[in-house]
Amino acid sequence: MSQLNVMIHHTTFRNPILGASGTVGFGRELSRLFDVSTIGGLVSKAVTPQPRRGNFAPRIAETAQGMLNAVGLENPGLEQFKREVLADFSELNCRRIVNLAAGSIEEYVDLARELREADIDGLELNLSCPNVKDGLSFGSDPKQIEGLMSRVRRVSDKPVWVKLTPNVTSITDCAKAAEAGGADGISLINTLLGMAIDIRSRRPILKNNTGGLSGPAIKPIALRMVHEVYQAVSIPVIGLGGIRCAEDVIEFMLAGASLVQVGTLILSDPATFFELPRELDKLADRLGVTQITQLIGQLKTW
Amino acid sequence: MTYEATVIDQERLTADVFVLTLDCPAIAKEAEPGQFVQVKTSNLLRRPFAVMDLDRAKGTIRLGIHQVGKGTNELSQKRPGDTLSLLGPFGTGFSLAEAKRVIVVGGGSGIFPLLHLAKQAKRQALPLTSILGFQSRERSFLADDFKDLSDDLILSSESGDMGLTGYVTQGLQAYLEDLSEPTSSQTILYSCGPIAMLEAVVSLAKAHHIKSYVSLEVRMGCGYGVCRGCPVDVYKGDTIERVRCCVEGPVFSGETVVFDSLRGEV
Repeated sequence: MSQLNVMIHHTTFRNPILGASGTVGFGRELSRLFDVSTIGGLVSKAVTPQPRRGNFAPRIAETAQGMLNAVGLENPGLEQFKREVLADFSELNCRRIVNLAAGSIEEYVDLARELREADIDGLELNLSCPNVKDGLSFGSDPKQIEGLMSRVRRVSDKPVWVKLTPNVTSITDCAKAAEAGGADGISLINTLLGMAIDIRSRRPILKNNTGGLSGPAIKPIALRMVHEVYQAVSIPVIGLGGIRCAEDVIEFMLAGASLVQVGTLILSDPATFFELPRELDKLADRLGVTQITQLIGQLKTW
Repeated sequence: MTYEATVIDQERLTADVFVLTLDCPAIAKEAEPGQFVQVKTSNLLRRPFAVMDLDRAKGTIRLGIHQVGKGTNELSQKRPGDTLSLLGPFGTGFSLAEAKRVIVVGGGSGIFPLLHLAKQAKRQALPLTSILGFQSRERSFLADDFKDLSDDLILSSESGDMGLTGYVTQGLQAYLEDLSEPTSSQTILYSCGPIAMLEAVVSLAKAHHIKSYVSLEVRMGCGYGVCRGCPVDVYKGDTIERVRCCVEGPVFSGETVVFDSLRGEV
């Protein structure tokens, strides 16, 4: 038995494996089918100030070792979330992180302020949704990231993670900006902007034309970026991108992740996701690792 | 809800349609007509298939499969003794609760979920009319199964070499025009097939004041409600609501479906 628990910003996660935003809904469906007390936590679907209907179908296209999605942040909006969803989400027996998305600094600040009293373990600012108009503008400008984070910091005592997009020139500049603004953690990576084409109709498969690429196809990019960001900041890194097995989790931790999030896997194999902590435990044993945190950032580069 | 199913039989119906019989007592016990299972292949995402038929006593289910790509080609190679990973059963299926008479209207591979429904209707001794359309005789399947269950069977083919010539909707239109008023008020129409066909079927049913339910085939991500990858717009009173095909559907009341929201699907 290895010690799988990880403590960051005074919060203990029973293990480093969380479900990623957009692949766990608000925990309702999964908690009916599985025991969420086996995992470290769940990150909710993004909540926006107003309800959003999202994009038209098709929203999903499978690609080589990956999938594109263009859901477009469909969610009930803050008011209905607080009224009808938050209570159940708060009761989940694992760490609960609420993902927030908005169109302006003021809106992000409002969202964070409105959830100040909520019984949750943290906020994740989605500064990087590729499927909404102007979604990328925040997440790719370090100045805006720092400005936004520092404003959110002033209204919320909750731990705040900033989720970064890989669709930028320098991920480390964005991460440093988030840290300078007072972020407690950096989640990376969000999806990569992509496209899939139907040769018969000569149209993109997605009605939104483009979508975010996730799954094993993006894992090497995510590992490289986690490694870079880990060296550039001193706050914890939460790694995600194509994780499907315990080996992947350890790769991300070696690259510098304190926690990881699993996304696309949950869509096809939710049971495998809930078994991952046990698999990680077994693998850590085989590797002679007694404390999983001993792995964080232990990559030895050539 | 994750099950390892063993292939009992593989039966080829046409050049690109086959049926897998699977041993999976848990799903056989639960699945209602119109519900589906998510099947694992070497693709990243599972693919949804309607439960075409089941045998609760034997614990088996049958899936009708149209070979259209890599995943379904792999499934066509499955032989007795091979195993398959299934999730399910998922979705809101067909209900016969209000039906006194049943019409099923199916196009191509859309007829699969209707077989399960037709058998249920037969068990409940409901009068059943089956209206099925195919491209040609050579590409038709399960017509005999429906014939055994139905009081009336109307076949059509686009090539004209089987039954009426043209689309399934022509057979439906002729049938509905002959229905008497008192009969139509107790009749419910159930349909599955391409989106354009379903839109035409719903509009015919509406014109003849017949209630309809349609099973929509759209691209799905998870199949159990977490990813919001399969939106369908439905009228609820005067407003339009966006719901999940995999949970609130795949079967919807025909007149509530906003077909314009599905223009990118086939």
